[in-house]
Amino acid sequence: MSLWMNAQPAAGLVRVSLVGPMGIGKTTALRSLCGALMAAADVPNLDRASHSKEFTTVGAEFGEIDLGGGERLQLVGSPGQERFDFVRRWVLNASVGVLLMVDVCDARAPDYAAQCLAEIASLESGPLVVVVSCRDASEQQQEAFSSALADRGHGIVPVIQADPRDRQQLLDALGVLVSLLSLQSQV
Amino acid sequence: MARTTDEIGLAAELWSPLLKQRFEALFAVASRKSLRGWRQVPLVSAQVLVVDGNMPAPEAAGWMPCVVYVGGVPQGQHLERTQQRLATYLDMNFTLSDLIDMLDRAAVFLMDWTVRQQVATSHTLARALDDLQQQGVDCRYRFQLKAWVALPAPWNNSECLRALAMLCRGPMEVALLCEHSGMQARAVAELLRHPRLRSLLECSLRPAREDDLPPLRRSRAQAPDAVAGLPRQWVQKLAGWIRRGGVA
Repeated sequence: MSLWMNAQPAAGLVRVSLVGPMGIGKTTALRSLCGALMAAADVPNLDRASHSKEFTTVGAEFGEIDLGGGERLQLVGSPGQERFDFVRRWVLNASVGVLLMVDVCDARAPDYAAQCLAEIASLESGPLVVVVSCRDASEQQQEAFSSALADRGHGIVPVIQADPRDRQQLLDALGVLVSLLSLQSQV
Repeated sequence: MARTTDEIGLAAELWSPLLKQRFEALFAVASRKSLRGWRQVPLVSAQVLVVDGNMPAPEAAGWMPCVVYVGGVPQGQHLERTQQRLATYLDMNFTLSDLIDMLDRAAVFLMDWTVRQQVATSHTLARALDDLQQQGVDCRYRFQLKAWVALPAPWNNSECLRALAMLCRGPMEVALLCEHSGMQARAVAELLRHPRLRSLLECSLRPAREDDLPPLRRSRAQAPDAVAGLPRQWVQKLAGWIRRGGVA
């Protein structure tokens, strides 16, 4: 088994996952947050029917954030294609938090997100989830998306607007996740 | 199929098979003839509970706004009609007309009850927000959002987003909100007064805590350093990294 197939991140490393459909911007978000400290897994996209982009990710991509003092945050992007579901499950299983990246205006997004949330809820580790709205969306569209998830029985999920290319917006989204982790670590 | 907002949810806990069968057959017709639409729903989402008057009343009969006893002895069933509760009786041999009449009376009661509840909730929220304004982190109320609210600028900054996300997790004390969102109590008070939050914000009195006591009676207990899940120190380190704009 290769090193990256270990289920748990190494000691001193805590994992947050980026999950989302193909082409939503997971690799871009990882680059925005981690800069050079990432290992991409891009290959030419042979599935142009699903998305027209030139390259796509196979397997998982890893990025790291060095917090100092030997402590690191590992960010893992899971592949968006359905055939890589097993990789997504593996990535999620060892995560403390998830940024679920979607286009809230896409009609397929509520079903996709609901399926991911159901998968996450079934995990023993119970990572916390924040939905990241990666394309321009009005406040009403963001609220409607959260309501659609609540109607599907997934509770009230925060939806944060963040462009994957914008580091500060991603930091804000990550900050929301961290505040929930912080709260969880106290109660 | 889910209940629509115009329908009233009714849960029937009838143990006698004959009574259950009779009720369900007549309810199928009565629910369409009543003033309002009716639907049978699980107990947790019901506003009306129908119980077998010959059996001991279930615990839910104590807090449900509207309870109907079918059969049994009316004198032993605490029948009442107050502003807060309607407990009524239906004869064991009820007819379709009796059932429609009962549903209509319950519907009228619930219309008044719902309005009173909304007024009471709005008064309590106003009191809670005033308390927050005056007491700051020592506010005696906890706050919670019933749905996600995406606010426009300047309310979409990182601190407000954190606070709003926390408010979705459950009843939240102001001190916790301030600690984990990075907001000052005054800023929390302004955020919670935002008109878009008004219809989605709930409040409740928080449980008494140790620092409510006068200073001399407090113990030296402090917040724990070692906590469930992630080490608190690690989370604080990551939060600090984010606050510094992603610089170690």
